[in-house]
Amino acid sequence: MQMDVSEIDGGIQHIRLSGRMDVAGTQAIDLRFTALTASRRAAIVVDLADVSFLASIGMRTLLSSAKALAMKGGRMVLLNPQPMVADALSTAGIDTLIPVHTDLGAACQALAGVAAG
Amino acid sequence: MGEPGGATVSPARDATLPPGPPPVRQAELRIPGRLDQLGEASEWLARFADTLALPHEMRYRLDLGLNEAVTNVVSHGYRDAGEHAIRLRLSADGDAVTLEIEDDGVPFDPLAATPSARPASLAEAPIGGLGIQLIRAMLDECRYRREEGRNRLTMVARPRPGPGQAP
Repeated sequence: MQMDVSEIDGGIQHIRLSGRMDVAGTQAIDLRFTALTASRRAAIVVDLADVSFLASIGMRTLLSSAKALAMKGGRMVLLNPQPMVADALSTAGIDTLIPVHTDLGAACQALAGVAAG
Repeated sequence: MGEPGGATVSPARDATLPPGPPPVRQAELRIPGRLDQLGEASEWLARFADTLALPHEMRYRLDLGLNEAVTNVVSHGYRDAGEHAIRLRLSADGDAVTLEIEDDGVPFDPLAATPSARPASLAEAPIGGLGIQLIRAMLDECRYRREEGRNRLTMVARPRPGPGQAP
């Protein structure tokens, strides 16, 4: 699994994940992902467009990072999950805890006011 | 495969007989009980799905069931450091596909766990317990049996109308 990070308008971190977020895929990115998301107050878009599979271990990584971010006054949103990934996120109730957007503009708007510290 | 009725293909069906139902197709894989075997198991499932030209939504749900169930067994099922094996079986019957997972871990019925209430906020959300919830919701039928010292979890997927498909 691959992870690419870039900064977009307003200091928002755009994390693009790609590949299978199963046990091996999650282990491959977990440390970097957690370090980026959990260490400071940040506004983060996690782009799931190229994630073809998401197991519960990957959801746990998303969820624990989102929790840690929220405790520091930061925020995470998810962007563009593929239909079956979106279905699994909603089945697990993740979409009610971490907002899911289908448009980058709307995702950034949802993060407005969360200044990167 | 040594099981009664387990023959997979019957190409030389007697032409004088009326055509019967299509043959049941089966596959079996034994893997060591380790998380690093999941990739191979998923590839095995993908090959089976390819031969049947299974719809994407069905292969996704079976793959999720496979990943979550094996992860549970390996993470919680073993009380010793010895070698363990997991037997995976796939069979197709009509448009249904059954995945059976048999392990020699401690007795555990994943279907007996009470589903946890949905957390109202991120702060309240527990980290974990999602795997079994996904299995129950994504597969169309789940059964558990403890037999001869082994756990046997059976999961059945049937086609569901999904995004981009006619209902």
